[in-house]
Formats: sequence, structure tokens, C-alpha cells
Amino acid sequence: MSELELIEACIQNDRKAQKMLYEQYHRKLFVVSMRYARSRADAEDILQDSFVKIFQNLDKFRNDCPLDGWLRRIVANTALKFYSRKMHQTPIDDIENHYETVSDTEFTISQYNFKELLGLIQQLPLRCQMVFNLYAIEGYQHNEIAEMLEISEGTSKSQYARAKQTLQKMLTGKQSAVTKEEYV
Amino acid sequence: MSEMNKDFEKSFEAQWQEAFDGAELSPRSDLWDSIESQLAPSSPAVEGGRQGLLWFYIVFVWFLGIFFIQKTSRVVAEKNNVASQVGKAQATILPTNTAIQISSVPETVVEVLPTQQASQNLPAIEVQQASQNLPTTAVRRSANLPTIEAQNKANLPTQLNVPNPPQGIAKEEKEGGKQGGWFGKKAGEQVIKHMKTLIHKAIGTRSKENAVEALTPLAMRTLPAPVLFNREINYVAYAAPSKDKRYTPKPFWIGVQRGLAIASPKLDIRYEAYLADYVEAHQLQDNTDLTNFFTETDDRYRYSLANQADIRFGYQFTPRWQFSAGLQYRIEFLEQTTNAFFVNYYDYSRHSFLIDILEGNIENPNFAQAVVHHPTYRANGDNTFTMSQFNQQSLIHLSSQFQYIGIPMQVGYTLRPFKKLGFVLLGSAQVDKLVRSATSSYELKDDVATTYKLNTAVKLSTWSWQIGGGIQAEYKYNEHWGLTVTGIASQNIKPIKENKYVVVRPRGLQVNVGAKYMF
Repeated sequence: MSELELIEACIQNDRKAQKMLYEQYHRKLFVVSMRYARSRADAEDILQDSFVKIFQNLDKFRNDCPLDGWLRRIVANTALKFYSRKMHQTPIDDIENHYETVSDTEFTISQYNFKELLGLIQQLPLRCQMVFNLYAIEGYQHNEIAEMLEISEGTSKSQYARAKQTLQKMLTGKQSAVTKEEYV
Repeated sequence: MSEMNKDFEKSFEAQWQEAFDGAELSPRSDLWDSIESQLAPSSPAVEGGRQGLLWFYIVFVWFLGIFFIQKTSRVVAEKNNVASQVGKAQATILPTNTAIQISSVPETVVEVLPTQQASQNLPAIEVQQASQNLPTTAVRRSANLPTIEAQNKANLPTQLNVPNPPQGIAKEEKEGGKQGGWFGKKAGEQVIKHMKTLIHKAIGTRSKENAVEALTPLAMRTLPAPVLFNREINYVAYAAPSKDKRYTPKPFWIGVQRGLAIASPKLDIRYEAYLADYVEAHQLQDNTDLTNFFTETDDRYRYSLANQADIRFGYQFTPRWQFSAGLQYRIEFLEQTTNAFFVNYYDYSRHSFLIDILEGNIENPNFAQAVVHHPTYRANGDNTFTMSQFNQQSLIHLSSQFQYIGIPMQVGYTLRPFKKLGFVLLGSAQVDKLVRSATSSYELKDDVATTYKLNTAVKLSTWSWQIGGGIQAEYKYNEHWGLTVTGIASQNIKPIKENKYVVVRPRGLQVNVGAKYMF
């Protein structure tokens, strides 16, 4: 069954096709969900909600973009919504350039596997985590992130800088652990 | 160039993107089940396998209904064989049998059966007398009805000799049971006969042949009488113009149901209680001789069948609250056949009716006195009181029909669904009006001399009110089809007559099983 046929069958509420789509993508999407989530349990809840949305809105999918990108976007949006209330309750430490920038070439992450990196991302403060995911991995621009998170563009940049610095510190061993209480 | 150096050349973001590129992790294994439970049921075309389950369910429910009908029909079929046998046996012996029906007794009462008459074991009867409009001896003479005197002059036999009727009866019952079957040809024949009978009644055919023919199919409509505790199984169909994912139709729906009412045959126990009550009272007061007070009457049965059809319109006000109301037509038949001394008592004022067959020893005058003196059978203007005494070798067959128009109303509160199973708490109310009632009787002396009497009574402006509550469970099979099972217990809120013996349909349990189609 081609991808188009699979999508069409899912739109027709074909349970077997839906499960096939789930089997095909759920492991990759779970990684996405884990990157945004604070815990594995949250990540599973986000993935569950995401798939429900996916099946309910699959008829809106256009073929002008890859399916997996569309699916990842839904997972990301679901995660943002999942934590939106918590993020709004968290005060923004919005001091531009508060964190010193670190050169990209000063370190490498190739010696870490993605599970270790996931653990590091989940240690970031919540808003930093979201901005980092959206900017560094998903490739959104700061103005887009600002709109998505209902923050200013400057805040997005500062949050990203903060996330980047924190991760670099953790990766270079300068800061072995960062507790979220420190930031939240 | 080393790997490390390559990494250094990549941007910070690119390294992270690459690190997660193609990464996979497995969530908990039952996550799909959780997702599936939140999805709309799949389309029937896809899950064709389960379609079979749906049809199995429908067929099962259908056969369940047939089972009930057949089970009771078989008993009646047996009894008809008995009636035929007895009738033929007595044809050469009996001159005349009589049933006297007294309708619309307004107030009081009832002349006690003459002790002498009863003790002489006369084959026909006498009379309770009321104030007006009751057939006195003179009236009966003018109507060419047999009077007591005429019967006495006829020098009717006091003892009738039927060659071994009990053995014959037992044999026929046994054979009749084999003939019936559960799902055989008999069922179809019964339905056809039933329809013929309805046609005869509708067009008013009163010929002897039709009357004789009518006896059998009338008896086929057999389910126990709806008096004390009414149980109903209805077949329901809903349709609703919606595909919404909830377990209740939205925003409105139409329901049609056709039901069969099944009621308990256990009400006969009440007669025993009554008679025992009488026995105890008289033993305490006046040492009345109650020897052989009761009699054995095997040739007695009675059944009823209530047919109803509803059409209801429902509206979903909020995701939780729904309301439906409609119109119901209900027709109840009752059949009874006995060779006993019996009393018929119809109470029109209590929505339904009560018919008593009191089995007493007709040789014991105290039995008749007990009946006519008992407050249960006092006329009150809303009832019909009939007291008949037959030769025990004859059978009297009596059928009644009652028709109601009702307005059923229902309020529902939708509970949170559990996977594909939804629940609705129900509150119900119903107003009924009895619009027509009729009784007819046949004496089964033999096939030739069958007599036919018809009393078509009475338009009665009788209202009743019921309230009830229950729960509906609906299995959402797929996007279109749902299976529903509804149980509602109801209580007649009109005050019950003070007389403790007159308890007419005070409560009921209705079970609806059905299918819902959402288009």
C-alpha cells in the first residue's frame, strides 16, 4: 500500500490502515514527543493525543509537504499545547544576551547517543526546552517561535541562547547537571 | 579528516538535527489501544468480520422473541386439543351450557347464590344482582336465555360421565407438546391464523364457522396476563441524521418500536391467598363448613398478549441532556378458558384490567357466597363483574381486548462513555388513555353447537399515569450502527384502590433491545 493509499484509507476510518500508519511512525514520533516532554509518561500522553489529532485531521493533509514532517509538526504543536498552561505560569527571565555565547566549533556531540541527548534536553528549563527544540532541531525561525509560544522574538532568542549555553556546559562537563528548579 | 573534525565544521544546530535523525523509541505497548478507544468506530466496510456479529445479534434477538411466543403458544395448542376432546366427549351428554355476563355493575352487589341451587350442582348458574341494568330472571327470559327454573325443569344431569377425561387430556397434552416445536412450521401457521382472526374481528364476521375458526387462532395469542408485574421486551429501531462521535443521537432522532408485552402468570397465586383468607376468616367466625372448598380444575388457562407500537422524537439539548416524546398505540388481548366456577372482574379504572378465575368447588355453596361477599368484587361503576358457573365438562372460552393511546416521555442524562459503550440514565413518564375495550365469549360444548356471544363495551375515559427510571446502554459498533439495550422500571402513580386485592398493574419492567442507525 502506497503512502497515498494509506492516507486515503485512514481518512476512510479504516482501522487497519490507521494502525499501519501508527506502526510506521509511532517510534519516530515518540522521540519527537520525548524531546518536548518533561517525562516519559508525559511523552506518551502527548503521543496519544497527537495520533488522535492526526487521524481526525488527516483529510487536511496536503501532499505538498512530506507526511513525516506534517506528523512531527502535529506532535510538536500538541506538546506545546500540553505545556502551554505551565509555560504561562512560569515567569520569563527576559534579559537579552544574559548568557554568553559559545562558539559552535568548541564542542561536538557525536560521542553521545540520542538517548543521552534527550536526557539533557529534558533537563532544560521548560521554555528553553521548547525554544531549543523548535529552533535547533525543527528549524523554525525566532519570529515563528515567538508567535507559537506567544512570547516576544527577543525572548525566544534569549531562551535559545540560554538553552544552548546550558547544553554546551553540560556537554563539555563544565556543568554536569542543571536542575530545572534553578530556572523555573 | 577525522570524524571529530567533521563535527567541528558543522553548526551546533546541525549536529543536534543529525543526532536525532532517524532516532526511534518505543512507547508503552498498549498505547495503540488507548488511541483506538478515542477514535471514531471504524467503517463497516472495513471491519466486515464484525458485521457478522451484528447480524448474529439481531437474529438472536429475533429468535428470542419467537421463543417466548412459541413457548406459550405450545401450551395453548395443547389446551385446544383438550377442549376439542372434552367437547366431543360431552356432546352426547350435555344439553346446554350457559354463561351469563353482567356488565357495568354500578354499585353493589350481588345476590348470593342460592345454597340449594349450588348444592344441587346445577350446570348453570346464577346471578349476582345489582341495582340496575342487570339481567334479572325476567330479562333473561325475554332474551331467551336459560333461567334457573328452565334448567331445573330440564332435569339436567347432576353428574356427568365423561369417559376418562383426565387420561385423555394428559395424553393430548403430551402429544400437543411434541407438535409445537420452537421454530417450526407451527409458528407460521399461528401467525396466519392470528391475522385471520384479527380480520374476522375487524370486519365483524359472526358466523358459526368463523366463530369456531376464531377459537384456535385467538388462543394462539398467548402470553401471560399483564396484571401484577408487567414485563415487556420490545424491539426498537432508531434513526438519527448524524455522524457525531457521541453515544447519544444528536441533535434529534426518530425511534420506532414494536413491542410484545410479557407478563407474569404467577398472579394465580393471589387467588389462593384470597381463598385462604376467606377460609381463615370464616373458620374463626362461624365455623362454616369448608370441606372440599377448593376444586381441581386442570382445564384452565389464560394468557394475554400486548402489542404496542411507538414512534418517538428525541432531541439532544446539550451533550448531556436529551428529551424524547412520542405517541404509542397499545392493544392487549387476553384469552382464558376454564371449566371452573369462575368470576370475571374487570376494573377499567386502573389503566389495565383484572380478571379473576376463582377455582372453587361448585358443590360447596360457601364458595359462591365467599365470592359474592368479598369486597374485591364489589362493583364500583368502573368495572364489570361477571360470575359464571359451568358444568365442569364444558369449557368456556373468553377473550378480551383493550386498546390504549399513550404519550411516552423520556429524559436522559448521558454518562461518560466507556470505550465503545455508552450509558444514559433515563427518567420516564407516560400518560395512557383507554380508548376501547371489548370482550367476547365462546362456549366450547362441541364443534357443532358452539355459541358465540359478544359484548362490545364501552368507551371509557380512563386515564393513567406512570413514572419510571432506568438506564440505557449502547454499544457503538461502528460509525453508523449501534446496539441498544434499555431497561426501565415503572410505577403506576395513580392511587391503588384501598382494597388490597385489587392491585392492577402497579409496576412494570420494560426491556428494549434494538438497533440504531446513524446516517
